[in-house]
Amino acid sequence: MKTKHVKQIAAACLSIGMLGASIVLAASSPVCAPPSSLGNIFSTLPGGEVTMNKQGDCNPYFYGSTTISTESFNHSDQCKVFANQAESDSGKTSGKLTASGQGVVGPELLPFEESKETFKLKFSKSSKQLIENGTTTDIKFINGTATVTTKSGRTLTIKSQGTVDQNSAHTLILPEGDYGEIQWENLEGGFLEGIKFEGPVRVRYLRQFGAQLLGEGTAIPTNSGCQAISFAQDRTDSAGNVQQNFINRFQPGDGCNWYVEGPGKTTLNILGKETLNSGTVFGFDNSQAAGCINYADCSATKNWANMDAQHPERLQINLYNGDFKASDRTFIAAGVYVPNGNALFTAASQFVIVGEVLAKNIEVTQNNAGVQFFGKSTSVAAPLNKFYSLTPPVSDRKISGGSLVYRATQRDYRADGKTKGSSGHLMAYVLNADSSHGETPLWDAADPAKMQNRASVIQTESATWASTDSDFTALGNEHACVIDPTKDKKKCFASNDPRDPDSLVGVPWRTEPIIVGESVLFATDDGILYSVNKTTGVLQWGWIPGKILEMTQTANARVDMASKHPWGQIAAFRVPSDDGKSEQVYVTGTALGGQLHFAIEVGANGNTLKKLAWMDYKAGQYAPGSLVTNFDGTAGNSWGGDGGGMQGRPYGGAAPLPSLVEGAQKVAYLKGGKLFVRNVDGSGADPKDGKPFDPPQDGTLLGTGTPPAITPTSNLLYLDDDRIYFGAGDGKVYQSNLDGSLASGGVSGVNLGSDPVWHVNGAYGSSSVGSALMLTAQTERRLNVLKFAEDAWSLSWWTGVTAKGAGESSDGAVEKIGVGGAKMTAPASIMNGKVVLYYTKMDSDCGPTAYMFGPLSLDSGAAALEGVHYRTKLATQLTHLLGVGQATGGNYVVFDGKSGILGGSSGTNGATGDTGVITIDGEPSKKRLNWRELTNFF
Amino acid sequence: MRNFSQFPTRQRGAALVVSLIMLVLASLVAAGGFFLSTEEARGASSWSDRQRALFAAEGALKEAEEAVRNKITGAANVRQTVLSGGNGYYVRHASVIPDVSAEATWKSGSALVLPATQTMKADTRLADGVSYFVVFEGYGQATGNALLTGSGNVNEAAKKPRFTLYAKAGGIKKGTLVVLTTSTEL
Repeated sequence: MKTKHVKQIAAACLSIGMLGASIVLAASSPVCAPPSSLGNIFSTLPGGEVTMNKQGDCNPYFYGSTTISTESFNHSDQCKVFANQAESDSGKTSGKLTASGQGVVGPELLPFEESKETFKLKFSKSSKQLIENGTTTDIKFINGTATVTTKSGRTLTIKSQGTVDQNSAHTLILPEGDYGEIQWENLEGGFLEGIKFEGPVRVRYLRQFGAQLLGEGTAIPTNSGCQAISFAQDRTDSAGNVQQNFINRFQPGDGCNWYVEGPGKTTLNILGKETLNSGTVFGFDNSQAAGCINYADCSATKNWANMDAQHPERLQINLYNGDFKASDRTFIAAGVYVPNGNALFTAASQFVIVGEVLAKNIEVTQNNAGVQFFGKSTSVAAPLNKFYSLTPPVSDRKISGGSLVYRATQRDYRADGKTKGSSGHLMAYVLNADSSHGETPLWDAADPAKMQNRASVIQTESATWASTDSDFTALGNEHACVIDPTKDKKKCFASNDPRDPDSLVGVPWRTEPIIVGESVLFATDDGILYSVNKTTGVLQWGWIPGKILEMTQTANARVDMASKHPWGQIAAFRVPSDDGKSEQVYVTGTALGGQLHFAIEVGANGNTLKKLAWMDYKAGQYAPGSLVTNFDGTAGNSWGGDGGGMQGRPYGGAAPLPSLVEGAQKVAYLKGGKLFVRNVDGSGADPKDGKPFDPPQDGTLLGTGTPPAITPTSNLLYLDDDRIYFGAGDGKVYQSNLDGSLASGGVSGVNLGSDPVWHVNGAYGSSSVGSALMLTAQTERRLNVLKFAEDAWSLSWWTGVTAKGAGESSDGAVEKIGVGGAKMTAPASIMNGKVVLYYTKMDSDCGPTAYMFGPLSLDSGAAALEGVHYRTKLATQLTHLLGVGQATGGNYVVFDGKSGILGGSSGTNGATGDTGVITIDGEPSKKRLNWRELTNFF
Repeated sequence: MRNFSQFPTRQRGAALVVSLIMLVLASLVAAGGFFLSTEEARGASSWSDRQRALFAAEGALKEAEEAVRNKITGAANVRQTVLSGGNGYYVRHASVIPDVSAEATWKSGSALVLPATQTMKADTRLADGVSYFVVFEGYGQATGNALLTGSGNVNEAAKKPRFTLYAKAGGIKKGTLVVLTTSTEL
């Protein structure tokens, strides 16, 4: 962690304490992940260089860091550095600027989203116009508002701050959405001060005419009549997708400032050319402009305090093509990322950058003493070069410090941290005494040494499998790339394959590992279900379904499966034999986004592959929330708006699951929106095309007339043959029987809102009439608790977050997440009548941070902290920090003899995820047993 | 005024005798009662012994509960853990459950049961020792626990194994025997 950051956090905490804020807030302050930023003001991509005034000395001053990240730097003995404020204030430099000798790999940019519109808006002092297809329409303001409709039918409502006339200063406020061209001018002596976007926009050409010429070396005054443009911060839409600004070409005007909404991040994605697929490359040229770009108090002296007070983390500029140019009298507080060009700064006079710059090469020319570079974290431009996990951690049920916890992790870059290449890893970490774990795993199942027997143990099903002991067969030479994809990299990897060619194992995405006896089973996007010894990590067997094998490669063809998420979830359960003396262990799962379901029998310890019980492949029919697509083939939504390669809901398309009736042979699953129920061992009737969900014909459930389609969007809760619950796209929970017939009324009568229900769960609660079933129905933003009482279902309580991430709940008695910017990123856990939620908070300084929240009473939603410990310490608050990254959910354990939940954080750029156990019960009961005497019956 | 000396001396002697007789009679009655209660107590010695056995058996039940709890806590497979648990552990329908009314079941050294620990060394005259066995009956669904995990899989932690516990204790006297049973969910 950077010293500066530590100080900031410490100062923040101190301030909170001084203000008398509660210890709760102080204790929940996030811990930043240090390498989530570049760490230096200048970084170049591998092979790049930093050049300072090729013809002369290095005169600029550098603040905050004595190094820059680049392979080559030609002025290492000249540039001056102020490492801290004391040095800066005293004017005594501490040393020279040196190069790290190593470049940095940048992040993967989002696919550029080009505006779908072509109309032009032209604003000047004298006129406001909409120009489209040669037709010009005047935009007339009435009481500060103007409404125009484009030819595509889009209605724009433009508002004004200030009166729109030729003699009054005003700013125009434009709604979010798509634009063709926006041009505005008259910044000198005029009264159009600028434009402001209400939300993220996509603009083909953003053109600013500035004419406010300042004398060289003159500081640009704020509020000078040139409040040029203000961008809104990034948002998450109702479907959970991140919305940012996308501008094909941005031509800033001279002397004009840029502002961002803050305090969240604004991302400006600039294509740098006219169209996505063709056109001249312009890059981004600010060299004829001067202005304050997200720079507050811009006219003040640029000393340490002034620069340190800036918020570069609020503006990220990504330039997709060309060079990024800026020159004199420009003051920037931002992260700047130029993956396909150079950053070129020409600065003969005052010029300041606060933040981080990453480009192919960085060149500063005509640099003088007024040129200042202040390194400050932007938490953006760094790759996911550490291992991170999108699944909950798993472990044996009974654990303590020293036990192993297993995490299905992945990495987006090769071991060198520079070159792209994804890989999957099943890691075993040793738990600390407090239930956290360190950065270094005990072993990695993807280690070639652990995988060395792949050739002999990876199998597929035989062509004639018939649920016998000879169902599986070894792969032949024609499948050499599956057996060992690293052997002949050119042959085994397609040119567009994102995998690390040195990796033996694919990416697990959101498929949680399972423990079967002495084995850990996990599945990855190379199409293989692996079993490794849970103590040593050594590969025991692997199975690639024939259907995936056939899609993965044919003879001498390349592996090209990594661009898909072929696996969904896997599950394991035991079915006792009729005489009860033995058990069969079945592993079920989904693959190919739910198109393939299966059950295989494995040995009791999971270390042997025994029989293939059945497979059900139906092309184009998906499971709800699958990582590939929704069941209807539409693109899968992301859970919690994580976006960026984490598409798909985490726990929707579950594997075939048995009914909760003990010893049940039947399993149920969803595919193509239909219900499938069959015997797990493959015996009995084939469900064929499954059962469509059928509402009662009397109209009691969905009204009369043609009933709307029931769209299952969650997992199944298979209590028994008459009580199969699932969540639907209309925000309700339905109850079905084996035939797909939906129960009339009942739970379906409870309206949970308009958001689809993505996860259902249940628990029995005690009541005056015995055990009463309670259901939880989780949507993207809410956990709803439904209760069955007096022969009727009702919504008992709910808690969740708003679209902006602020906590909200059904009433004042129900606890809510007490922060803003939170996303519920995993299904809740329920234990001992208490509920624990998971949320991820996007923090501008630290990136995403994962928390557990609770426990709350399942019955009432009220806080239930009595006797609760988190990481072995008595819990005094509901918020529990798990670590950096996304909260990935938890699993049920017994930790140090107490029942608890092992939660996990995903990790992020600079830190592997972490774990923490919350225990929510005490010692076993010591009360006397109620006994009955049998002696008298002898 | 009366002169006390006018009372006959004989009369005073009779009162003393009567008092003494009464005292003797009372003593006899008291002594008789004492001897009678002792005799009755001797006749009811099996009842006292039975109480002692009852308490010992109850303790053995608690001990059985702790033993099986320790055995299955954290076990991925309770059924198999109990099946392979050795003496004293049985699975309903899968094992031959000992006959609680058969003397052989509880006989000292029987392989069918487990001996309970006895820490009161001074009272180890319990005729046939204290022992117990447990029977796994299946699973119940624990209240207040999630039926599924976050991944949508069956939450095995919510399935609470149910056991029937049997315990027997003898008394000081041979022939005293108490057998208790209870069910518990762990």
